[in-house]
Formats: sequence, structure tokens, C-alpha cells
Amino acid sequence: MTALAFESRRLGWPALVAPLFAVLALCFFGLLSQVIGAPAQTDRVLSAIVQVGSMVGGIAAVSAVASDPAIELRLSLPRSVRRSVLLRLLLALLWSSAVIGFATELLHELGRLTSEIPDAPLADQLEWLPPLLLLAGVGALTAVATRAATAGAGVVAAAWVLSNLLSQLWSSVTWLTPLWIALPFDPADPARWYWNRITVALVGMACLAITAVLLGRPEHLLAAER
Amino acid sequence: MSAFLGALRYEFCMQLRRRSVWVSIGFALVLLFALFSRSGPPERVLPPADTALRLVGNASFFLPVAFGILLADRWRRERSLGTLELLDSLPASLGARLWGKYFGATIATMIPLLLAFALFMLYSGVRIGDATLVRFLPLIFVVVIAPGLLFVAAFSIACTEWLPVPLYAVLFTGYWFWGNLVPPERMPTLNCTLLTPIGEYPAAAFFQHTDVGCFNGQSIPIALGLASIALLLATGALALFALQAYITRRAAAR
Repeated sequence: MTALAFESRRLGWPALVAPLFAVLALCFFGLLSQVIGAPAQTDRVLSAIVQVGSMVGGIAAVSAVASDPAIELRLSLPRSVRRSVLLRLLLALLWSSAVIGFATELLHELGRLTSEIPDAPLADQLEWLPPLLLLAGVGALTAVATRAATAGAGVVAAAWVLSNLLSQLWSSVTWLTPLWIALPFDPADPARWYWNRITVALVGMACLAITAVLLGRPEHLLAAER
Repeated sequence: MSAFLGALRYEFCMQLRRRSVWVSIGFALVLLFALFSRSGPPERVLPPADTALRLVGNASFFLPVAFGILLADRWRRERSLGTLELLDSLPASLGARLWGKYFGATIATMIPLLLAFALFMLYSGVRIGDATLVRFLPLIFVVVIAPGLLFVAAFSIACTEWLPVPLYAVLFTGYWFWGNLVPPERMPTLNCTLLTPIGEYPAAAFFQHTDVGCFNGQSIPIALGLASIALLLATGALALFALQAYITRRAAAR
């Protein structure tokens, strides 16, 4: 319990505030659409939480594994750095998931989610959870492998923006489509979407597992970029 | 002046040697190559300059996102390393250090970005049968891309005085999507205004590039292109002056 409280403090308030901020920003823009007389857009703006959530979770993960200014001291303690950092990473991901998941479920209950997946009560959560795992995995792996937090954040941001753009190109490159985090649900071919979600989640978890392995190499952790 | 040049040179060399700068932009470039590996020739024949602008436009939708984030930790670096007080005690003024850092880090980050644009244009040019399209890049980079990058860099350095870097990264990515890619008819946005850093106004004004959604195929007067560039540069400079004034006031109050 003490370790949990300590790591949540080490995580810092930005990682805790970021998901809330994203939800509030979308609510603000949704409200603005309503006020300026474009109520049809309000639901689309609010539903963007399923896209934005994965990026927020990805950057929170990078922030959790970012280099520690007191890494030499941490490495000299009996408690392993890997365990501490993984606990921090888990807290960041759980918190982001809780906020985004709650917001998605609330929109679903209010009937304001524009991209609902039919015939499966919790399937809406699959819109953001696998992408969050992938971006968190890729971001954390990049940050730890290069020992540069900004590299991780840059990769997450570039991948997220690119995934939400150029949809024609994403669907035309056969080998990249299984990793396309913004693949829209097609009622005519639901299996394709579900396979995409499984692949995205598995690749994300594989990246997180490699990150965990890299965190166990003290000589690597000392070479952080500042 | 020598303090400014010294800071500029130091920041330039440091930023150019950072792994994160090359890794982030390299990753984005690889993803871009992969996505465009199946794209065919353009649906209609465009003049070479228009084709070059179209290619640059594709890449500039997202490459500057990594650019902005890579500059976000530069101003905070001294504070996190505990060397801020040491630098404050030196004869070099705060202004010289701030502006030297801004120009040094920004120019250094522009180099891999320019290289990425050039490689992407070469790759796409070869695919569509005109490898010489890259000859337009220097002019397009200076007129269309650089003002937006200077604008983004100024805010990345200034905002992180008050915002932690991870929070800034989230907000900046959200801003980029909202302010450059969301159509104005969908929600209130800075897109299609003079403050759009993606360079739609300079592209339409100086190159008669009308392949953008904002102008419905119409070209716009050169004055509007100039106004957009001036506004972007002035707003960026204003952010840095505000940061300088804030830090000077805080130091005087100590």
C-alpha cells in the first residue's frame, strides 16, 4: 500500500489531470457547437473521446516510464526499479482507462455515442482500449529503449494524428490495416473489426512486455537523455 | 550578442545530437513511407509546383506534431537539472539565453524535419514519375512551413514554463488536430484562419495552390499570405516576450 501511494505521488498530477482535461475540453467544444447552432456536431465532438483517450493514455504511459532524476539512488535500493516503474505505469493506465471508460459508458447510456457497436453491451469500450494499449506500449517502449521521454511522446503523437488521418491509405496497405487504431466498425464485416482490436491489443501488450524486460537492465537505465 | 550566439550554438549542437529528435521524426517518416507505398498516381494532372505542395501538405499534417513535442522540454531542462541558478549567475542576460535557446533548438530540429520532407518528396516523386519535384522544397519550406514551425516552437518553449511537459504534449496534440485538421463547419476552430500554422494561406497566396478545402478552389491575394506569415511570427514572438517578461519580473521579486 505504501509503495502504491508513493508511486502515485511519483507519477505526478499531470498524468492524473490529463484524461480529465481531455474529457472537459471535449465537453467544452461540444457545448460550443450547441451554442453556435450546430447541435448535429455535438455528439460527434463528444464521441471523439474514444479517439482522444488512447492518445492521452499513451502520453501518460510515456510520462510514467520517463527517466528518473534520482535513478542512481533508486538503483542502489533493494526494491527493483523495474517493479517501481511498472507499478507507476499500471497506475497511469488504470487511471486513464477509468476516466475514458466511464465517459464512454456515460455517452452510451445517454445515447450520444455516434459510433456504437451493435449487439454487444461493452463493445464500445473496444474502440479506445486496444488503441490505448498499443500507443502506451509503443510510447513506453520508445521512451525506455532510447531513454528519451520526448521520443516516446513524439512517436505517440505522430502515430495518433496519422491514424486519424489518411483513412484511404490505411485501408489500402494490407499489412498495416490490422494495426490501424482508428479502423471504423463495418456492420457488414464485424469480424474484421474484432480481429483488428485483438491484434492491436496484443501488439500493445507485447510492446509493454519488452519495455518490462528493458527496465531490468540497470546499465541501460543510466544512459538517459536529458 | 556573443552570449546570444553562444547560447544558439550550444543549443543547436545539443538538439542536433539528441536521439529523440531523430527517432521521432524517423518513426513518423517510416510510417509515412509505409502508408504511401500503395498510393497510385494523382487522379488529375497538376502543375509540378502544385504536386510538390500537395506532397508537402500530406507530410506537414503531422510531422510538425513531433517537432513541437521535441522542443517542449528545452526550457524546463535547466530547472530539472538544477543548473538554472548557475546560469542566472553568469553575465549572459536572460533574453540572450532565451532567444539563443529558441533559435538554436528550433533550427536544429528543423534539419531532420527538412530531411524527412526531402526524402518523402523524393520517394513520392519517383513513384509518380517526377523525381525532380524536390527542387521546390527549399522555397516551400521557407514560405509555407517555416512560419508555422517558428510559431509552434515559440509556444512549445513558452508554455512549458507553466505546464508540465506531458500535459503540454497532450494539449498540443489536441490543439494540432483541432486547429489544423478539423473543418470549420464541424466545430469552431482556428483551421482556415490566418493563424493556421499548417501554411494554407501562404500556399494559396504565393503558389496559387487551391487544392485545400478552405478556399473552395479560389486563389487568394498575396497580401493575405503575407498577413498570415506576419501574424504567425508576431504571435510566436509575443509568446516569447511574455515568457521573458514573466521570468524577469519573477527574478526581480526574489
